[in-house]
Amino acid sequence: MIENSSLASIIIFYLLAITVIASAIGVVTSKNVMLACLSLLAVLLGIAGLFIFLAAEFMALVQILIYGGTVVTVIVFAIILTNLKDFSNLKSTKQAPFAILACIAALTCLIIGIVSSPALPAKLELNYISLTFLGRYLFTDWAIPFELASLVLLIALIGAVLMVKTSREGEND
Amino acid sequence: MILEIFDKFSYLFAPSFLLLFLTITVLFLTWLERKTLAKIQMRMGPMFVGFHGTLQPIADAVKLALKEDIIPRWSNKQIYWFAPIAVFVPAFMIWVTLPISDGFVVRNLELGLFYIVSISVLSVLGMVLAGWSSANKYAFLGGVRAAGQLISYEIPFIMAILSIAMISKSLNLVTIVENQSSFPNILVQPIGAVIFFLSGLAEIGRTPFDIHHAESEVAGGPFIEYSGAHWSVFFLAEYINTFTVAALVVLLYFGGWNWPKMPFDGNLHSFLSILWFLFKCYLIVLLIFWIRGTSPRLRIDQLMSFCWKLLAPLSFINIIITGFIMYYKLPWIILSLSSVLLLIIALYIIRKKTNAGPQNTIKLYSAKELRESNENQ
Repeated sequence: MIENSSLASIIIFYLLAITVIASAIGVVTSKNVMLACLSLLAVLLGIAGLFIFLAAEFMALVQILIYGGTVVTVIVFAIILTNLKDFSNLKSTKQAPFAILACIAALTCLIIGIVSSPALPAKLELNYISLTFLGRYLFTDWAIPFELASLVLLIALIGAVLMVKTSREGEND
Repeated sequence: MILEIFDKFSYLFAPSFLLLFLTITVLFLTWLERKTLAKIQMRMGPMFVGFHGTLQPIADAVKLALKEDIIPRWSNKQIYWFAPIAVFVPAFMIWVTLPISDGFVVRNLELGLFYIVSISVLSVLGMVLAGWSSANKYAFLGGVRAAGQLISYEIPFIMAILSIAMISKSLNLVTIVENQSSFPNILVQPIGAVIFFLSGLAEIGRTPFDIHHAESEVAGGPFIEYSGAHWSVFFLAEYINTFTVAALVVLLYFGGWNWPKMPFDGNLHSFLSILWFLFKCYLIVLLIFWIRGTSPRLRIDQLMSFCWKLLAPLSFINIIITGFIMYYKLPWIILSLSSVLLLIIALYIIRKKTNAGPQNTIKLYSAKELRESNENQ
């Protein structure tokens, strides 16, 4: 399905791309915070689909596990613990023009960068990287960055515990 | 010729066949559960529709399909509608890679186990959304409970799977089963099997871990407002998940269709393998129903401390021991012995804790004691 650039694969690619872009617009424009969050889920799952399309199955599954499963659940959890009425009448503030300008500038930079890149037009080379290879590489050549990433998570965990603890002591006195 | 057509459109036929298989399984499981519970409670169970109530599930399904689908006025309509799908789709998608027999699988993924883990995480979201969007306090409470429980038990669940992946040096389910042809994994990983089974029970919300949809506490939890077809989708997902956990236990720990080996060849062999696998699955399912019929529900703090203080550390120790034995290439018997030893220590700790008396519980005073304590003051 992927090897030959047949009609089916092109259709699937554009379906995925349209899903990702449409849901991304939905995240920004939706006034209902929960719907925005679900659109974010659609974006992340769509990107996982694109990863599968590029024969990067492991990346796709990690994307679903970490972003689709965990991050979105945490965001939903944060939303259900807040009062949705606080968000019910969101309006554009005076900062809107500046935000639009900044976004347009960033987009222009990106487009110029992509178009002028010597790597384009890229030839799609699908390298099926086996999980064994990936694991060996990750735990030998890239061991220190890998461990550092887990250290960041540990720091976040300890920080969360610390914050909760201090606030409870504050309540007592 | 027919086979050729079947081959060409296998991506259409295989999922529909899978859906049919799962639906029939769910219908049978509901009947089996009611009969098993009735047996435990010395009743007859469903008797009127068909021979010994065998057609009861079909009558129930028709009833559910014809029921009015009520949507609460204050609910968030889109999300209320979306939540059952978010629960059902992951439950169904897991079966894409679960092999029923050798070569009898929709897609034999190389990363099968990892796929199962990452897909099963998605169903938490559906529970939380169902609870939130129903605009009901009990549903909301159930949703929050579900999130806490499912995310917590995800950790021992994944860690037990990880130790199996270490032993078989593969994430492919067919390879894992084929590696067990001489002896099943339960002999080397008894504690892993216990952790996996218990956290699997918690993941699917079966008694004694049905905190998030406990009828006597939160009146059905996230599903309280759902009715008719929407509710039946949740129901379907729950039973599919039950069967999934049973199938995973059989595949990972009891050698699937491969142990003990069938002494036949050809078509008879593959047919008998399927029957053998399903037979083992139904034994585990019966065990799940038995536990449901005989054990009381845990409290939510007991549930959490059971996961974080017992199952999670045990699963980490299990991984460390497994890694140690694999690195020094010690015989497997040491792993099973140390695993059994660990299990005994864990049971001892549980016994000691329960014998130490209830902690942080409310003391119930009789009227007489209350009067005496008031007089003393």
